[in-house]
Amino acid sequence: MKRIWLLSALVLLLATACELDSFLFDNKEISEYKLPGNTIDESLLHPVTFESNGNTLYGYWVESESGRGLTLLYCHGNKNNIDEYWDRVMFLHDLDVNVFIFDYRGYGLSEGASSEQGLYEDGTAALSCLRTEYHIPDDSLCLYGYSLGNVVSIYLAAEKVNPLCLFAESPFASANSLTQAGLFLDIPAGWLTEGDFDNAERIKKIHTPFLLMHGEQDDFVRYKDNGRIVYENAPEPKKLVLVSKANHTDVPQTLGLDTYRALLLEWIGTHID
Amino acid sequence: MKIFLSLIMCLAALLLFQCAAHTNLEPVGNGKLAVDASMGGPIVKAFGTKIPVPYLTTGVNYGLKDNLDFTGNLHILSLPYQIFGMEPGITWYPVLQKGKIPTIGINPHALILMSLKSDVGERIKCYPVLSGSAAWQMKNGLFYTGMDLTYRLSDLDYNKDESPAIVSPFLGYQWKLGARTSLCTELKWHAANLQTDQLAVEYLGIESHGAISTLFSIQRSF
Repeated sequence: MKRIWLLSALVLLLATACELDSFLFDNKEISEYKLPGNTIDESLLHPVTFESNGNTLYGYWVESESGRGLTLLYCHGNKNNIDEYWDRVMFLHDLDVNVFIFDYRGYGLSEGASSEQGLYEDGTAALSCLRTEYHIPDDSLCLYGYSLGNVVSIYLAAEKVNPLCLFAESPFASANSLTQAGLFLDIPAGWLTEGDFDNAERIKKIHTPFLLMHGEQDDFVRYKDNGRIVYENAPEPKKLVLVSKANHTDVPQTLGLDTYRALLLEWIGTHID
Repeated sequence: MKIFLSLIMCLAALLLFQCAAHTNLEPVGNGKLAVDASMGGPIVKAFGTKIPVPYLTTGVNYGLKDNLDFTGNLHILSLPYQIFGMEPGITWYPVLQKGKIPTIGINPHALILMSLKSDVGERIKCYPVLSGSAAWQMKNGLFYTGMDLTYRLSDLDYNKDESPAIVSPFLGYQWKLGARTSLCTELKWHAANLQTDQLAVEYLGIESHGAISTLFSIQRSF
């Protein structure tokens, strides 16, 4: 009888099949967006819904003040939902560009469950929405990824669109870069995660000017085995902005918002026809 | 994100750090057998406090000679990740306690990890480990100290400058609970030579290095 119990316990352990992937998603579902601290004129804010593989996704289309044609697709990080990143939307809207932000499946009001494949599908659906609903041409579109959002923006730039430029803030190199750094051992990809989330490989395929910003004090996604690898693998033209005192979540603020905006505008201006 | 990732990565990290593996302090005796179960792991910062993450291994020592044991540990809680872990080796005791001279144990072994998943390219990883301990008989047990040296045979994919050697000093006390049973309480500073302040896992280190862990193990000889 004891043997049966032991065998059952062993089978149960094996059947559990844990993966770390789900822990990359720290999403929070809500009943409504609050857009905390919003200072953008309500007339410029447009709630958006679109479909992604059977899931309804929610987002905001934020018009520029002057009706300027440049659009920035903001792919947010892994935490909570759009509300968590609304200050970032305001920072970017001050560039006088249109900003499009959306929640991946499982985040905020968006339906479905988070997954790596879901991120790719949701990013593609957001891009499609921009093209079909708002008629945004590729050469006036900039992609911006923050942390986990880089998985989406780098995928889009590598596989789906050749945008005006690509911004990456605090990207990780891959799921395995986080795992190996945490364990100090060369554990092969796929042992602890199902997905690869491989920004380091995918960045090689982009054909767009690339600006990377990373905090040197990032205590979560360490620059030397993440941002540095992504940057080194990216083709020219590219620019690196290492912010000496910044952590994972405060690159724009530590850089100074005026400097941050000037940096983005300068990079866009350098590459606009 | 950091909290949950820390906790779950620690569960994985524990097996890789051989966190809960029992420290061999004395020979079990020619032809004799001892089994042990260990629980312990690094202290991580989570939920606004510092908590040890438990991890479980079980092991066996068999006396090949009076001063030479076969040792083996099996990692149990790595199985949900479909990783089978074991640590076969030997422990040689070249010096037995005489006065203030401690019992010296030298334990070369291998940390062997095998992924049971079907869709991974590389299935087995092996890391040589050399452990050394010195144990002094006290009134009601043994005071001991020592060090593990784990060696990585190839570079990390994303940080090729990282040292391949992982140094983990420890100290502890083995309490005699009877003629055949003992309890070890141990503090270990895992990866003391490596910087750990900018990782997804928030270890409790010293001067931004390593991960402090606690270990409890119980051993019974037959």
